[in-house]
Amino acid sequence: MSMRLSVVLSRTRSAIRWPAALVLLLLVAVAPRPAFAEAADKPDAVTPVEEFSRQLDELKKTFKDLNQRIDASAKLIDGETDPAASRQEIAELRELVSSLLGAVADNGAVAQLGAKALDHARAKQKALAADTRYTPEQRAFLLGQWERLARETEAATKELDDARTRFAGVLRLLQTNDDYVGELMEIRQGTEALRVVRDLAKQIHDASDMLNNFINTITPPRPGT
Amino acid sequence: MMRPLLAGAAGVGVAVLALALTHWREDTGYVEIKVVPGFVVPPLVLGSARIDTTKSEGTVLRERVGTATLAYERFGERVPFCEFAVRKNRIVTIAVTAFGRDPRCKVQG
Repeated sequence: MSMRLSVVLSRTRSAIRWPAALVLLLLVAVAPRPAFAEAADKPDAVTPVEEFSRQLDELKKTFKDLNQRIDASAKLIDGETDPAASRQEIAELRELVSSLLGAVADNGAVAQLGAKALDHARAKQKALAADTRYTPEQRAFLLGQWERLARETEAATKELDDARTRFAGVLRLLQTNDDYVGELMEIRQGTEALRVVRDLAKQIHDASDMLNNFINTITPPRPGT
Repeated sequence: MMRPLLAGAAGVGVAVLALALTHWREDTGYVEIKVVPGFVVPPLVLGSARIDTTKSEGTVLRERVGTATLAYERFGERVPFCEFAVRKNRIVTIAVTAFGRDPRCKVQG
């Protein structure tokens, strides 16, 4: 179980070098709308793209720490024999992966920001193509810049898709393992209950023997015995 | 003169902070929606989110813990067809197929 977990986690770590942070989650929880509103207020600004890029950078930066945390927890689970402790570790890992997945979910802040940034870049391309204020050279330059931005933003949103799929897989694996450890705990509790029942049965048996002996001692001997 | 104004502003600030904290502490889980390859289904909606049924890797949505209902849209109306539980920090996978014109779901996890 834990071997498989480690393999998947390490594969995830090597493949994804960037997702979420608590700082980002705070942004998600507290202030996604002002950012969107600001972008809407300044149609000509690069804000959505910049904001998306900034948030992606934050994700990449903080993922390193989280990565180490996942690594340490996976090792702990590997060496741990106590199901309760394993379960606790898995629950903590699940919480961590859950926060990562929250950042990259389809309705999460980064994904929505990515979609908005892409829409903005495409809208700018369309608007510039029809804009007659600029010389052909200027327009070609601006169009090229927005084309590059749109392409890079699209690539970044594809990375998000990849991260989403992988984190969903890890979360699913963790919850399967959690359920498995839960079953192990139930078996252990069942074994403990069985031991108690056996002890009780033995005590009852012993008491029954004692009672039997006591009855024998107080029963007067029958004539001829 | 300014005191009621300041008190009012502080009150609004506290309310906004409380709202933000409520949002922050809200327990959430995840729903993965996959349309089984080969099936064509009408537009799907989960809460306020529209689902892109064409994505091969499926859609992953963060949802509040509790009972969630997946619906499809037909003639501008939402028709619920799948109810499932969303648990904290867990992911539930919904595989969507179709029987005739109507979508069907299978809940996993």
